[in-house]
Amino acid sequence: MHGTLFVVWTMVGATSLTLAAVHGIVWLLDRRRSPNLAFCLLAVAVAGIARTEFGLARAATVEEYAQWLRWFYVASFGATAGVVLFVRLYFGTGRVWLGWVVVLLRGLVVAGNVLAPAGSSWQVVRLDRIPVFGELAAVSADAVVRPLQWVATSASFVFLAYVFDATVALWRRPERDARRKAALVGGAIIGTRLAATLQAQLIVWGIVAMPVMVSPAFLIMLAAMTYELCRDIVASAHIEKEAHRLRDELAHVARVGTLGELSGSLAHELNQPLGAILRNAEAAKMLLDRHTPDLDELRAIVADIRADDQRAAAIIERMRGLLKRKSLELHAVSLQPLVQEVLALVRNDAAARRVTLDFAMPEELPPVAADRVQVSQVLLNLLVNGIDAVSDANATVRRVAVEARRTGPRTVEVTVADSGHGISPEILPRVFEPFVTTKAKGLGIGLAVSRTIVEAHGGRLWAHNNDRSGATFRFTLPIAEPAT
Amino acid sequence: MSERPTVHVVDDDASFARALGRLLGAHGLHARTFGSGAEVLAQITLASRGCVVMDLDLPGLGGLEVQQRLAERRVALPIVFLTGRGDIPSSVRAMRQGAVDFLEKNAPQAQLLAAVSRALAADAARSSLYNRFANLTGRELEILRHVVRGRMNKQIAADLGIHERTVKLHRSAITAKLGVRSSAELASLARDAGVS
Repeated sequence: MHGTLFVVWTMVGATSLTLAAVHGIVWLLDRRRSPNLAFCLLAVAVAGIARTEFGLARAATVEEYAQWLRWFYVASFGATAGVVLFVRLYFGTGRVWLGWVVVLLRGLVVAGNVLAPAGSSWQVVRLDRIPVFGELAAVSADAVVRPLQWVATSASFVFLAYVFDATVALWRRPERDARRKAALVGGAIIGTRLAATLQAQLIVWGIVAMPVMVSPAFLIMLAAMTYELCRDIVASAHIEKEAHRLRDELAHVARVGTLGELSGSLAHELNQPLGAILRNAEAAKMLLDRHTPDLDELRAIVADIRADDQRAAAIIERMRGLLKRKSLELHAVSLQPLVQEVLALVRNDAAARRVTLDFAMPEELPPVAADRVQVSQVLLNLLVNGIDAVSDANATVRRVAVEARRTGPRTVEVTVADSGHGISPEILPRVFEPFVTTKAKGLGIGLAVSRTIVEAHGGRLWAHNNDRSGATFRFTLPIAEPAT
Repeated sequence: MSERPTVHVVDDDASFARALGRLLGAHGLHARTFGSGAEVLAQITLASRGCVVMDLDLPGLGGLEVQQRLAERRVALPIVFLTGRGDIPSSVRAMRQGAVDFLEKNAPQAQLLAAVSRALAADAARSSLYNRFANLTGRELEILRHVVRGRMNKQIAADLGIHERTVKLHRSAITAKLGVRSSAELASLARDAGVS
């Protein structure tokens, strides 16, 4: 036969454990979210408080009451330490030493009650039973207050000082949400603690005969914390989305910039088929003006015009693909055609500057999980840099070599090696920083963006100088999961 | 002895070279296409006649290098350069080295044909000049070289160990064969023909 008290404590316990589980999972999924772990420990402790409060109310003898009281001290130590930890991790403000004092004092209370005989701080010598919500609950009718109880009381005041200090410090921070967080979470903690301390004093000194019931108040505090933690998760999802959008945007800008650098040679490349079409059309007109047009020759001309038109269309399509603005999409991508296409984009530029382009990759290389456009961009950027490096170096060996190979069960590595001067030791550690450049014209965002792109693919991009001459840039990409 | 005047079209883009060859053919010119500088260098000899129409940005052996190699071999075929980009330093260099013209790849047909005609005309003029010089005997050529250097008959006679009168006879034979009237004219003609 259970009454309202049972229902209240069961609900408090169940709610606390549910919240603990949810935030525990959040922490497991994202280990950087340490406040969620602190919350999880705190909520488990609150469930423990609810359970022991129920035990106290149902105690038949003073001995049994003392036993439950022991466990109550353990649970409230957990709750106190949990809040101290949460405030530290979540607010990031306040005086750490105050927190340590709280933990130490509450630790003394627990040690005194668990290691020493029961009732080291507050010993109930006679129980009374009073109706609470239509149910009889055990309450202290007479008790002895021992010195250790003063330690517990002072711990409460130090605790309040610690939280108040941290809350004020948070309130003064310039962040947009700092004030709301301070008021809501800090206010809830202080309010809950004041209520609990007040109740404890009334019971301990025998002023009011009532069962120990602090856990429902703790639930309000947990609710305030949960509200803020959930807001953070939603906000960080927004921030992440925004960061992705900005990354794609920046990648697009960098891509347009790189293509801009190549525009001269791309126009030249486009001029070839256009020139051929023009000359063929002019020749055809001359042939048609004759009395007996050479039909075989005309057929050959038309076939050539068609082929050149397709060639021009392919060049435009390649550029258009790179100029598109779109977000990162991972697909299974074969590296062979991708590398060939990028090489086609820079071939003219390389030829004009007498740079040989080499490409080697094993036939059986599996497809990688990649965004075709963005990986092309990385490769294009590395190739343009390589060609620039070789041109600037005035080297006798003028070569940029692209190589792709499998380096692990789930990894493909692509290398772009040039025969230039290499990267100077002062610049080498900083080449991937934005706005670090050795080129007269150029923003210096190419490599920074490239690294962001590769990392968004779950890969790595790094650089080193070769033993003999020039530098090598390497990046890894994950192998695509076979389609199921 | 000399070959038929031919337009040597050099472009690594086979389709473009073919199209240009067709167009020149349609205009009644004899054209041959080549895919690289090396190919055309292997084909051209001192006896080649006509002109070269060549892409400036050939991969491998570039247009300017082909021009230089031809000059080293004393092949004086006029060259019309085609380019996809208006590259001023290269065009200046090409012109200095004696290119006849420098055109955009997609230049109007009339402009292209005019440039080729000019090149062919220049080659024809040079070739007739060559033919005139070809009538000179070895001794006459030798004396001509001395004359061009501005040496007096007496000095030439001493150098060659012959009579001054013999030198004079040779000189009048030279002026008769080349159809020139004065020594100044002779010197400029000889310079044009590359006698030095």
